[in-house]
Amino acid sequence: MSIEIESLVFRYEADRFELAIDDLSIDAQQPIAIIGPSGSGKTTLLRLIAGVLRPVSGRVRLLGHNVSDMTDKQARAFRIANVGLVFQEFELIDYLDAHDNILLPFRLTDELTLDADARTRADELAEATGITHLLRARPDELSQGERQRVAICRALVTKPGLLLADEPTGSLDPDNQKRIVKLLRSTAEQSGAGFVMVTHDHELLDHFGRVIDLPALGGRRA
Amino acid sequence: MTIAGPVYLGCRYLWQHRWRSALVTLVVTLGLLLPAAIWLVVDLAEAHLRERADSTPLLLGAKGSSLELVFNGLYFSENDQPRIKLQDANDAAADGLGRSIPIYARYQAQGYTVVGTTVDYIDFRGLQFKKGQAFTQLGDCVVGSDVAQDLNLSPGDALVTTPERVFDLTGVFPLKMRVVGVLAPTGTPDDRAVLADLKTTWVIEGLAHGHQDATQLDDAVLEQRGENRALNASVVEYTEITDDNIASFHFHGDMKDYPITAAILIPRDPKSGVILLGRYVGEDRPLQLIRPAEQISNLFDTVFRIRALVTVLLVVVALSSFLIVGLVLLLSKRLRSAEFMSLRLIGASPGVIRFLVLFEAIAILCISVLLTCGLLVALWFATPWVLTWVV
Repeated sequence: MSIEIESLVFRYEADRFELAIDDLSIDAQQPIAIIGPSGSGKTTLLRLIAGVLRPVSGRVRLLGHNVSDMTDKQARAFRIANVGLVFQEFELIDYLDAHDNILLPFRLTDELTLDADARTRADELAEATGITHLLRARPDELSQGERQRVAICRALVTKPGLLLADEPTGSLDPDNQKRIVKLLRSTAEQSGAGFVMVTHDHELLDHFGRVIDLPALGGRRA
Repeated sequence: MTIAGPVYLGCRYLWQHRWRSALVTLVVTLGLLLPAAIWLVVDLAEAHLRERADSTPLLLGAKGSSLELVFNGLYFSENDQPRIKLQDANDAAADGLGRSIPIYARYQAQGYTVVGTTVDYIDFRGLQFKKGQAFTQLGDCVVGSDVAQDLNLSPGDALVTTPERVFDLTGVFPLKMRVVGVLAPTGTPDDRAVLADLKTTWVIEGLAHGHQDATQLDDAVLEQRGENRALNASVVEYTEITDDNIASFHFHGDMKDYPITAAILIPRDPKSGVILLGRYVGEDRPLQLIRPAEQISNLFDTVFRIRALVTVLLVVVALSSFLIVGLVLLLSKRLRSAEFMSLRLIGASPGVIRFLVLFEAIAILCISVLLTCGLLVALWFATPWVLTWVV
């Protein structure tokens, strides 16, 4: 469950943004929080780890695989098999009900099969997150907290080795924030997945085994 | 690349936004349907009109609009056609160049044209009887299949003609006719016609009538000069021809001078037809002899030119509609950029997302094409029926 970053440089040319990290090794067996102020590159780092973005130079090794050198197709296949993503705005599909949203990864790629096991897994996750009674509801019929629970189930339904959460509590009130972080952590633990979460909220840091302060690593250079 | 997943998502998206999808489908359907429908309807109308015109060699009528003459003599739809005399029809066939069948299509019975003619007409058109027989005496009529069905008529029933002017006491009185036959369906204007003997239509017009025996009505005599009696209004004029009163019906004047609206002329051979046509060429002739097929061809030459113009306009409108639909789909794709980004982050390849968008567009197009085909088939079945009402 390891993440290793070596001599990483990433640039957004358009807004003259550069993220540079010399060396970073993360053991995601324990919950990890990546913190930093807005615009410090937290989301960018998470997407580099997930293989969504490619660095200009350097390497990102995830679960022993160099995701930086993979083709788009390979990175996508690797991500589908190994990484679950949770977003701040949940990114649920508004014309699908909660159940279909949870099973969505199975409909987007040939690498996953939507079989009885997948459906059972979705039902188990729904039960674990307390949304079994909401599975036929569409996103616009759910509260913010309920939507995030659906998004968590979707991220874990493929049994990933690593759960990456990008400020998943940013849209929630303080009570719901703590509840969702606990839920993410416990659900990831139950699923045997590592857990890395980006946040700028210092009050949530008690829930994590390790906190990585991105500016302290070098982080953004403008 | 997976196909089932994008198809499922596309179906769910279209269903979730079903009113918008239905609207876009409707626009595309109309864009496809209207030009195709114009072509289909005009082609069917041409076939419908041309078939009857082709089977009618020559048509005689009063000088004036030859097209109105065709519509009166063949389709019984122009009841204000100027009249000619029965003698005119007899003269046309007098020297053995052909034979004539008079048509007097002027009066109505419960919404259907009463066509005064001779039994030759039934043979000429090859009409078959579903029930009963041809008219044999004054007051008999034979009804077309649509008339029989709409008015629920069978042999033995009665059919009353429609008075021309309700408040004109001196005008045409309604005549109660006996239905003696019902024609088998033909898909022609004969289905919507009431065929009767020419003399029966003259009775409807008031040129012949029957009343109580004047010699027995001493109380009603106003004046008597020799054998001629002038009677007052108490004399009962018959409005129905029965076996008891048929003998009292009589015609005033010479029947050769009685009116008809057209006459079908069947020349003995093509050469006779040309000779007959030549006789009616000239500005000073009060009559015209025409080939109905030529008139219908001329009519459709004009219709085809108009159709081509209308089709071009409709195609332009359709293309504009398609461009607007394309713009709607493009804007929709932009509005859904966040959704597509989410799908990519979750694991969809660019190909899957392109297929999803393409599937939605193709699904709308396919539904529109199916709807268009269905409506064209319905139009194909309905048009002949509608044409029998319109023409």
